[in-house]
Amino acid sequence: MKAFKPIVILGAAVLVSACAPSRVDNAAGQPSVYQDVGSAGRVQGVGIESQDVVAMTDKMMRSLLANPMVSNRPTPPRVLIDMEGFKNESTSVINLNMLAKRLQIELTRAANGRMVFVNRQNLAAIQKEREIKREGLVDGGTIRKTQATAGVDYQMFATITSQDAIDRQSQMRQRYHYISFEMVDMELGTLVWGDGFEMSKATQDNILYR
Amino acid sequence: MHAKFALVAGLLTGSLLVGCQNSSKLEHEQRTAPTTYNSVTFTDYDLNRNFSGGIPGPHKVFRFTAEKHGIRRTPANTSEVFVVLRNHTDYNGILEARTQFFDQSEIPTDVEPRWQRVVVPANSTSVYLEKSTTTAQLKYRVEVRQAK
Repeated sequence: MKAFKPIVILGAAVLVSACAPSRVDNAAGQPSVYQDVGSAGRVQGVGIESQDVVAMTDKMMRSLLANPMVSNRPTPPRVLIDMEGFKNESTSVINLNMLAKRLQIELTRAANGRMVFVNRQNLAAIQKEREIKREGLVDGGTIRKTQATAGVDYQMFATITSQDAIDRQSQMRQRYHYISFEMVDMELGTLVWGDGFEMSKATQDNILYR
Repeated sequence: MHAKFALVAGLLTGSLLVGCQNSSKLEHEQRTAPTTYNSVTFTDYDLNRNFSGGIPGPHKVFRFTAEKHGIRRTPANTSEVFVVLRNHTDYNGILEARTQFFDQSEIPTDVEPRWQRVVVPANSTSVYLEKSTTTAQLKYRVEVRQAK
């Protein structure tokens, strides 16, 4: 009987330990939620966030369309906006293509023929299509034939700059951003339009941007 | 002594209840007010609110007001709305404003309105400007809220 007692205890212990790992944390997690892209989200830091991208591109689009040298010409100018003209000199992580694309798409929608946008990102595909048309592999399409693809009248250049400051005691950090946008005459080399967007943010939380 | 105390307590509770009802009734009126054009609306009632009843205290809350607003043409013939915002407090205020444009038939037009930040220094004024993208004659409705 005395020898039976440790076996029972050992058995009970084995049973308990076997049951323990099978417990799953079944608590309801934090569900993902949609947020307004134009307002501050739940995760906020000192970097460039969705509401900044939206506000910045929206402001530039409206400003550009109010400039008669660009948007009120008898012949709509050919404009190039792509990430090649965008530079990030700031400490913030930002996808320049996102900035350039949003500005270009919003302008394309709003300009409604007052500007013509040149696409250089897909130049290889365009050239390939032109070649097979001229080789007679496919017909000439329904629109027109041109000697070459479109030359650019104006190109958009943008530079993101920033200045950081950190309070060593409180670990409070702040970042000032200035983003300049310029439209350059690609023949004469002059500036036909320019505008800027600035903001300063402060936070104590350590947010990681990707 | 007990009767007096009960009477005072009853009166206080009654006035509080009446005050709350009045203020919520007026708040309801403000919340359901008809949409007007060529106007500025404070969607954040903490910034600007009118109430004629309620718990004894201010009959009006106006931390910020729209001193003047209007619309004009840009050199490219698009429209530009301006709102002069005044800060009545001793603290710098950061507001957000957006403009919905309407055509003359009061149909929403132009691109989607987006919030833009406006900093209004303490006891000072700042101007919020927003441009349209179309060259048509437009009406506008500006909404103002506190920046988060």
